[in-house]
Amino acid sequence: MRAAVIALAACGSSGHPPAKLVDAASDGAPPDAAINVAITATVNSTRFVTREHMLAAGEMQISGEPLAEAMGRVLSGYSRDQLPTDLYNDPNLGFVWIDPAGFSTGVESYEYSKQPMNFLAFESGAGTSLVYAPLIDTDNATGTAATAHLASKIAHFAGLSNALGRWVFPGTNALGWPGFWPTAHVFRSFDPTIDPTSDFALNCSISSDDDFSMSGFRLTCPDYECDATTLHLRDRATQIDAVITPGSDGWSGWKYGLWTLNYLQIMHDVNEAGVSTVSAADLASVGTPGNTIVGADDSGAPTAAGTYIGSSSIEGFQAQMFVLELDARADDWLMRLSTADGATLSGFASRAAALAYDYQAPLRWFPGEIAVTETDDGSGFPHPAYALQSASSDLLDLIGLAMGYAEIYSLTDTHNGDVGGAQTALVYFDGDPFPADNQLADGEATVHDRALAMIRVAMIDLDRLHTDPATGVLIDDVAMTGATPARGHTVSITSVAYSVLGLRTVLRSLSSQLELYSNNTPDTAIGTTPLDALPIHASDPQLTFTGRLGQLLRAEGTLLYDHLTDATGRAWSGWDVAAGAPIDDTDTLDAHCAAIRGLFATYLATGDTRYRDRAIAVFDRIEKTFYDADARIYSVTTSPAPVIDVEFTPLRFALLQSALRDIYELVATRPGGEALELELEQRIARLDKLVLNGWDDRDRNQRVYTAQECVESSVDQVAHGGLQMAERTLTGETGRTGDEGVNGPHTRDRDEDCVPEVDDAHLPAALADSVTFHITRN
Amino acid sequence: MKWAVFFALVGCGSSHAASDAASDAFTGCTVTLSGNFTDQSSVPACAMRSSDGTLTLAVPSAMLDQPLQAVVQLGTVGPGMYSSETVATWSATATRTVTHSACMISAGNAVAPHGDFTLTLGEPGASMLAMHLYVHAAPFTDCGADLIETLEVVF
Repeated sequence: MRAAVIALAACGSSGHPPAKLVDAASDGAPPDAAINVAITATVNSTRFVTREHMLAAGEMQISGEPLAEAMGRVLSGYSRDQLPTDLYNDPNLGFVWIDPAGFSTGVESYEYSKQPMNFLAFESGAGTSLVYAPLIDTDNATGTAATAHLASKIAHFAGLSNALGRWVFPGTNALGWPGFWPTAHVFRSFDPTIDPTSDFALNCSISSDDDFSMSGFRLTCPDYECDATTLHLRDRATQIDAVITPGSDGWSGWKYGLWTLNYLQIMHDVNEAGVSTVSAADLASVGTPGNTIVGADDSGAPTAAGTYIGSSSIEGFQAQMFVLELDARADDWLMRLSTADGATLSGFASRAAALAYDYQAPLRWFPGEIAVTETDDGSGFPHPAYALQSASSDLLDLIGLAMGYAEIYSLTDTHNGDVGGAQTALVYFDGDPFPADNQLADGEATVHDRALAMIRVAMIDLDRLHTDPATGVLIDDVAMTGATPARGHTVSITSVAYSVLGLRTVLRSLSSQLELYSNNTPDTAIGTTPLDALPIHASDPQLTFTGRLGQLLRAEGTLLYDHLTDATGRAWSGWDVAAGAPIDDTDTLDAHCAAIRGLFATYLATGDTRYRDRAIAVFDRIEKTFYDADARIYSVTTSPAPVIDVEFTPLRFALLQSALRDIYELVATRPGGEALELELEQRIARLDKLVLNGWDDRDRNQRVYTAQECVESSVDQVAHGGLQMAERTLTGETGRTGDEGVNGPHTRDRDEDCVPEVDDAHLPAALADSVTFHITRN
Repeated sequence: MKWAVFFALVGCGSSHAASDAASDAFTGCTVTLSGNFTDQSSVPACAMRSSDGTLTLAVPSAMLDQPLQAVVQLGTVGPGMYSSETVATWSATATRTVTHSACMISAGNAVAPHGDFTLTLGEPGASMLAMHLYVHAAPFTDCGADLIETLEVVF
């Protein structure tokens, strides 16, 4: 028998101010009672489309832990392995309750976003091998000699994070971590079919850092969590689209960057407890083998002797790998993978030349498609060669590149006190493991200067290639004939929204304002940044680099406000600069969600509340026009009614989830928005559980009945997930029944949340490319 | 699994308990509950206002284990309209037992989700509290289809 003692505390300040009077009543009526609606689903494509998936993954991360915290949840109240799933051990109520909204954000959306990133970066082989990145393979070695370069670096990284002998075992396999397959550039798309093992032979366990409600407890998990061999693509050569693009590298870079900011917020001690600070004299020695440095945690209390870099042994190691991969990519793009003639690949003469790239320099840009051919040189990793396939330029690709390097730059920017200036980041960029920088944009061989150069080139070309000179509006597509651009004449509202977001991210990063998840207050004025020291030679001689970015941002915001939305909340799918009109008259959910994302970003960048008010109007129209209260699903268009089928893709999911999140964080949590909170919690929980997990809680009792309520179970009565195709230990799926761990019988859905384990799905913990949900009404 | 649940209700926040201050009970109390469950009742009194501006309600319902306890720290004793948008400290809690398991019903500035309320405070019989509360289900407990409870009290 379990007893729960519930202490209900209605606590507050004894000196609270008198309440203000109000003159309006709340309008928070509960939804109508359920009618008999059943939702099933069909998977249209399981293909991993990298750019859109990583964009969605970034949004899902932001809609993860930070959204749960915004909803008042205390993250330590969740256990990812406790059964039944979705429980919240509420410290304020002293009561354990079923919390789909909190669990689906704080655990599922967050960790679902992480695993496809790791799959790309470390596990699947769905990209070019990092072994042969010139930044690592400095002497153009081949075979095992090339592998040895990276293996040596990995062993060093593992020592610094205390992963050596725990996760990384040099000399016992190719790179130290069994099955590790680090990528440099990631492929544009691929069939993600894999054959993970069901074995528990390695007594593998997830760090306590990943199981925060059970500090010190290690959850036993399947062997693939510490040996990635069976996570490789089943038949790589036939599964990959051997093309790299600025967009797939860019948006995966944004995702890597977001997570690396997270991992570098803290150091850890020998017991993997958090270390916030060490004495300045000790900083250079953090991570050295056998160190006995005693730091302090966030309360100032001393930590155990032995301090290592990053938030845990795994995460501190992975963070180094992400930085290395992004740095190697930047080196490649800048020095070898741009073009000046639209026919051949080449590079800037130097990093300094890339940093000085301006409006008068001969055009040089990152081509839209680069074909990869690979050869086997016996190393175990294919040796890539690159050839220009398409010289065209894509707006969203460039935005992704700039956003990714804006994140990484902030980690190297010592003027950014809470990020690059914090000891937890300084310890990465003080010479070991990564070179220190003088904080100037002067072309040093550092992460700092390569990141700045990537931002510079991406943004200058964004303007030179994509800005329509007549209207100042950025255009989606630019074809190239030689070095002569032929600009299209349309732009989608999604591109406009992410252009605003990207420009704002770059401006915040360069002005030392960028912080992880701290994106919900208007930005402060931007002073001189490192890239402003280098003239851009624009038509206005007074214009600086960041000054021009600000102009571009405001132009995009104006387009959103003046032309792509109206006061009724109507949003249009895109703008045709030639016609001076929307690209069509379709009335779509995507356009409205993108409008909300872009309008809020404009509001935060400018402080102009008109944009926030317009975003609210657009949301109101979404609720009136697109929400089906009976099925509790958003329709994609306004017709036909009632909704019969709704297709979700990663991008559509990301747009809708981020719109709901932004409304929650920027409207519902403000004074006057309280009545929205309950409604939005229900919307967010339903979206995550239905679309991601594939759980249609038809009877609304918050309990999963697999055969009836898992949307893809109609064929074989077992769980197949939703857009989320499979899951792993981080979200509670170990593949063994109950809490017995290694001793329990095998199951495909231990936590009974409709999402199967990867070894049963033969698919990664990642999003499908397209799933259609079918609504049946009785 | 059998659960035994004990509830300790602690009203804190004010440096002095409401009962220590002079109090003013409202006569008459009509209660309407809807959403997760439906109930209506009337009792002679359920609301009390103390001189420090704290409004305390004990809202009866046959569907609840004990009367729903609500505390709204208005900070003033005057009539007018108030809401969760303008009141810093407020709370409401109740429990309901469903097939031997607990459903907790709560709202307030210190819990998640907060819920919300509007309050029109006037003469006895002309005051009304409207509140949305969230129904929390304990593990393995089916608390019903609609987890938002709407409370209306005229007092």
